[in-house]
Amino acid sequence: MNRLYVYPRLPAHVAEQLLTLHTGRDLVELRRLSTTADARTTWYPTAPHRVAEDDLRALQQTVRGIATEANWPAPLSKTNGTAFDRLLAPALYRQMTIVPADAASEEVWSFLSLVLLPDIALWRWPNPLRRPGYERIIGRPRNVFRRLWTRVHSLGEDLGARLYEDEAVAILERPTLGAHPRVARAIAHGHLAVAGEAGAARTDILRITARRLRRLAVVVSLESLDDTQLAQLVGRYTKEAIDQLRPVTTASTYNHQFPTQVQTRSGVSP
Amino acid sequence: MTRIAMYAEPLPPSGGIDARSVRRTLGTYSMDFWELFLRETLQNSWDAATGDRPAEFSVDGWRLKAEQLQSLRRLLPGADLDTPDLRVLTVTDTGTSGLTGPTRADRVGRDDPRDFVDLVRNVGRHPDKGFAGGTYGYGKAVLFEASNIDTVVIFTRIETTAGLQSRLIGMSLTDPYRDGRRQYTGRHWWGVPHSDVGVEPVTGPTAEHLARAIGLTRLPGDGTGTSIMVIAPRTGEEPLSDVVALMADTATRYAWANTVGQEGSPPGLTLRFTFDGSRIDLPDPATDARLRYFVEAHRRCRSVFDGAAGDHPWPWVVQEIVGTRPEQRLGVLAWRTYRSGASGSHARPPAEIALMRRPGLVVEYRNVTPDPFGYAIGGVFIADPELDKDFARAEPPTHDRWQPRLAQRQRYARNPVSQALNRIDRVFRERRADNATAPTTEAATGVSRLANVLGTLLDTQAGGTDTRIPAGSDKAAPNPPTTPSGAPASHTGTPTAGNGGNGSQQGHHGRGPRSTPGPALRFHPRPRQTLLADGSRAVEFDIDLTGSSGAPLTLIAQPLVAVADGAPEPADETTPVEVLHWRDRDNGDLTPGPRLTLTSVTSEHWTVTLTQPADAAVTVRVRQEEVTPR
Amino acid sequence: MSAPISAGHLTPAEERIRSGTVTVTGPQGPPVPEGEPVPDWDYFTNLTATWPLNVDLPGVLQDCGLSPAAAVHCLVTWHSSSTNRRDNSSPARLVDGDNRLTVAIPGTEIGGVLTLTARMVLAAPDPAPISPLAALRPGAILWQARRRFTLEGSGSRFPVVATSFAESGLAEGRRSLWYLSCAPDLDGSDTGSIRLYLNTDHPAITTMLNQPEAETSRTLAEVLRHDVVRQLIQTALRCEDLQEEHDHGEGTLGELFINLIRRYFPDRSLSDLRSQHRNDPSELEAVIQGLDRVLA
Repeated sequence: MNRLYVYPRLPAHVAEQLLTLHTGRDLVELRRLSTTADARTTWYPTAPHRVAEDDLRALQQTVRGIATEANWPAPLSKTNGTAFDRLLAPALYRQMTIVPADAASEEVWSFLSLVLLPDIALWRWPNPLRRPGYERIIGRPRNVFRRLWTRVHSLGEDLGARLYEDEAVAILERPTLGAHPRVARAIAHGHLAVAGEAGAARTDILRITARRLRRLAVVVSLESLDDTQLAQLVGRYTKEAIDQLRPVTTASTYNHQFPTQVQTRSGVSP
Repeated sequence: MTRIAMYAEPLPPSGGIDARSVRRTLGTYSMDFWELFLRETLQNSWDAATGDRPAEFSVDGWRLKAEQLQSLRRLLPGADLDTPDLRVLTVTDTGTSGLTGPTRADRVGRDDPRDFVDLVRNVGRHPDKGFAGGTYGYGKAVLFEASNIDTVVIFTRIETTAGLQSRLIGMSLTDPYRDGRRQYTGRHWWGVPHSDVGVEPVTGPTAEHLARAIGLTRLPGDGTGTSIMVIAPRTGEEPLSDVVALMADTATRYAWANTVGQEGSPPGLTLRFTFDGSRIDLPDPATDARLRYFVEAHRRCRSVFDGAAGDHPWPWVVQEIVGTRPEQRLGVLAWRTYRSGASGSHARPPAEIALMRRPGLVVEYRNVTPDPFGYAIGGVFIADPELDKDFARAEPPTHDRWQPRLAQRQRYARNPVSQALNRIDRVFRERRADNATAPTTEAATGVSRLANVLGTLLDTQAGGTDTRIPAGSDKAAPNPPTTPSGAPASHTGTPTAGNGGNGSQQGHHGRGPRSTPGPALRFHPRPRQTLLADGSRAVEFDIDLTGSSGAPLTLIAQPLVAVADGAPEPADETTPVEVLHWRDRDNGDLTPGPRLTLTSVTSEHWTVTLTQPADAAVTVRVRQEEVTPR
Repeated sequence: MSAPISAGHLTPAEERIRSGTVTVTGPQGPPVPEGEPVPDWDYFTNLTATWPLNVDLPGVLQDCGLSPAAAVHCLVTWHSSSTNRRDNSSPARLVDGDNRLTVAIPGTEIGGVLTLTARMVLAAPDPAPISPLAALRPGAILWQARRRFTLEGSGSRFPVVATSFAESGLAEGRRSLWYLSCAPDLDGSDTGSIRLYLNTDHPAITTMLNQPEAETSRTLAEVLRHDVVRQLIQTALRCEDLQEEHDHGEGTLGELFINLIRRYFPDRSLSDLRSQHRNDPSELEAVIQGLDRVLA
C-alpha cells in the first residue's frame, strides 16, 4: 500500500479571518502571500507521516502549472473553470496521497485553499459577494479542492472526469448513492452508458434516476446487489428517465378499483 | 618640523573612566579572536561606506622595514618598539567617509558627525550608542586588544568644506597606572601638543608624509577613508601570514553579499588581503562550491523584496516568513538542498541559513535541522527592512547573532526576532521524521493510547477527569425510528423497523394548521400490506383519534415517499402514490379519496389506504382542516 | 408525524431474529460493545465489526411469505459520519440458528460516528413465493437493525508518533527513548508546535507500545508522561514573552503553557516560578515530580 499522509489543518476561526483578508486581493499578491506552513495549523495527532513541506511545494507547483495552462490570473469563464477542474482533479488526487479520513477534515481543505494555494482557490472561486463562510474556500464539502478530491476518491479518475459538475453532485452529495464507491461507480457508469450522448439533458436525466434510486434504497439494499444487477437497475432507470423527459402525449391515469381485500397481513399482532 | 609628543592622560580630580573598561566590553566572544577582529573592522568599514561609490576594504600584514620602523619611532616617542622584526597589521577602508567631525570631544556642533571623537577620544564609553555603525566602542576595544603593546596608529582622510583633510594620531590603551603621586587612566595619544586636549592629530602634508613613511600607503592620494595600523599584532603561536589568511577567509564568508555585483551594478565592496606585499587569493563567492548557494539565495530574497513575482524552480524554496500579532512579514527565506560534494570529514553535511539584514554582512550562519536525506542545506534569511531596527537591536555588540531578548520593546509585545527565528527553525525541523517506516498496526494502537493519556495536558480545564467521554450522548439507537418526517439521514430508510415507532405520539403534523384544537392522531406501528383486486399492492395505515372536540373537521391524507437519506418527499410522477380511501374500522364504511370529514358522531378508529409503488416505501401525512360552514 | 413506513412487502416479526452483542475490535484491544466509544482508535487502527445473529429461518421465511427455497442473504454495512464512507461485508447465505456477520473496516476511511447496519435481503427472486405480498426484487430488505459507535470523542490527543530514530536521524539517530520536539512559538498552534517522537529502535518503547498493559510498560508510560510535563513546563518558563495575564489566543501554544502552569501551580506567579527556575531548577523539577505524583 502506498504511504498515506496527513495534512496541516487550519483552524476554523483562522480560516474565516484569512478568507476575509484574502477576498478581493490581487491574485499575484495572493501568490506572494501563499506559503507551505503556517504556525497556527495543527495536525492529526498520531499520524506517522505528515506531508513534508517539499511535497506541499510540489503540489503548489502542480496546481499552478495547471492554472497557468488555464491562463491564470486572467478571469475564468464558466467553461474554462470546468475544464480546469477536470484537469486538476486527477492530478490533485494522485499527488496528495492523503489519508482519506484526514481528507474529511474541513481544516485540511481550508489550509489548502487559504494558505497553500489562495492564488488558485480565489481565482477559481473569487467570492464576489464577500461571504464570510464561503463554502468554496472554507473546507466544506463543496470546497474548490475538496469536491474534486472526493469525486476522484469515490468515482475514480475516468468516471469522475466524464461527469458534469451537476451530475457528480447529484451522486456524491447523496450518502446513499455516493458513499459506497462500488455503488457510486455503478450509477455513474450506467448513467454514462445510457445517457452519455444526451448532452445537456444528462443532468436532468440523472436527477430523476438519482431520485428513484434514493427511494428504492429504502426498500432495496443497493450494496447487496452485484455489479450486473446494479448495472441493469441503473440502465433501466436511466431509460425510463429519458422517456419521462420526452414530451408527454398521453397522460397516464391511475384508475384503481376500491379494494377487495385478498389478503391482509401484519407481522405483529396488534 | 612638527613636534610630536605623547600625552598620557592623568585621572582628572573628578575621577573618570579608566582604559580597562574598554577592554572589559569585549566580554566573552564566541569566535576566534581574529575572526572577531575582522568582523568588527569590516562592519565598521561597511558602515562608513558612502554608498555613492564602491568601498574597498584591505588588510595588510608585514614586517616593518628599517626606515618604516624609524619613522614609527618618530611618530610614537616613548612607545615600546624595540621588538626585533616588528610586524604590523593595517586595516584600511577607502571610498568611505573617513573619520569626520571635530577632533575634540567637547566641541559639539549641531548634526556634526562624531566619527573621529567616537573612535579616538571617547575610548571607554559604553558601546551602546546606537545601531548604525555606532558600536565602534566595541570595535576599538578589539583594535587595542589586537596589539601586543596595546598601540595603534590611525590615519584618516576626510572631505571638509575646505577640501581634503588628513589626520594622523597614535593611541595606546594600557591598564591604569601610577607614576609618582599621579594616577593615570592608561589612555595615551601621540600627536601635536595642545594645551586643552593634550595632543591633537597631526594634519596636512606632515600627516601625509608620516603616514607614507610608516607604510600607510593604501589610501589613494585623492580618496577619503581610514587606515588603522595595529602595532605588533598579537598572533600568539600563529604566523601573521596565517592570521591574514584566516581573516581573508572570514571576510569572504561574511561579506560575500557585498562583494558580488547585483544585477548589473558593480559590487559595493572590494576585499584585498596581503601579506608582506603579496596578495592572498580570495574565492569568487558566485562560483565557490559552498558560497554560491548563499549568493543565489540572497539574490532570490532580494527579488522578493523588490516585488518580483519570481519563479523559483525546485529545489529552491523561497518563502516569506510571516509573524503574528501583528500579521506582518518578518523577512524572506530562500534555501535549497544540494549534494555536498566535499563534506569528507564532516559527519553531517552542513545545514546553514545565513541571517542578514539588508544591506549588510552575514550576522550568523544559523544551524538548522539537517536534511533527512543527507543533503546539505544552504540558504539566506533577510530581515524585512521595515523591521530593521528590531533586528539591529537584537544584535549584541559582537554582531554575531540575534538575541531576541535584546529586541524586546515592551512586555506583552510580540517579538519579531524570536518569531522569525522560531519559524525558520520550524521550516527545517518539520522536514524530517516523516521518512521512517510506518509502525505496525499494533504499535499504532499503543501510540493512540499514549496520545490519549497525554492529551489531558492539552485540555483547557484543569484536573480533567476522563476526557475520552465523547461529545454528545450518542448512545446506540438499537432500532432506527420509523418517523417519516424530519429524521436524520442515517436513520430513515427502514421499511420494517419492527417496534420502532412505538406509538402514541401526540399532536398535529408539522405543516398543518396548528390553531385547530383537533384530535390527536396515533398511528399503529406497522402498516399492513394488502393486495388490490387488480393484483396490485396497497398499504393500510391504522390511525386512532383521541381527544376529538366534536367540532367538524376534515382530515387530509397526503401520500409521501420515503428516501434513504432525507425527509420523505411528497409522491410525484416519478413515484405515483394515491390515497384510495379512508375506512372506518368500527363499521367498515369507506370514504374514497384523501379527505375525511369528521363529525361528533364518527368513529375514532380509521384506516387509510394508499397504493404501494413497487420500488419505494410509502408513508402518509395527515393534515387537519377546520370545516368552514358555508 | 408518526406514520410508519411501508416497504411494500412482507417482513418478519421481530422475535424471529435475535441480535447478540454487536462489537468492534481493534488489533489490540478487547471487543467494544455497542454504544461505547472506541478507546484508542485512530486513523491507523483498523477495526473488525462483529454482529451475531440468531435467526429462526423458517419463521422468517413464513412471515415474509417466501418459500423454503428462497435465498436470503445477510450482510453488515458500515458507514462513517466524518468521511461519509460506506462499505459492507460480502452478503452471506442466512442460516437457521447462529449467524455471525463480520466486516473489516479500514481505519483510514472512517471517523466521527460509525454506524453498523445488519440487513437480511432477498438474494434472488423467489421462484414460488407463498404470498403474493412477498418481496420480489433482489436486494429487497426484509429486516435491518443499526448500532452506533463513537470513534472520536471530544478529548484532546497529544501529537505522538512512533518512528525509528536511526532511520529518521532524530537525536543523531541514537538509541534514545523519546524526543519531545517543541518550537516555542507562543502564537503557534498548540498541537502544531509540539510533537512527541517515540523511538521504535528502543526495545523498552516497542514493548510499551505493543504491550501497554504490562507492568513495565505502565511504569515507562508514567515516566514518559511526567517527562513531557516537566519539559513543557521548563520550556514555558524559558519563554520570555509568556505572560500569564495575556490572552494568548485559543488553541495556541501560549495558552497551553499558561493552562499547564496554572494546573500545576495554581497559586504561584510566573515570575516567582521563573526565578526558582533560574536559581534552583533541580528543586523545581522535584516539586513538579511531587505535584505530578509520579509513580505514586
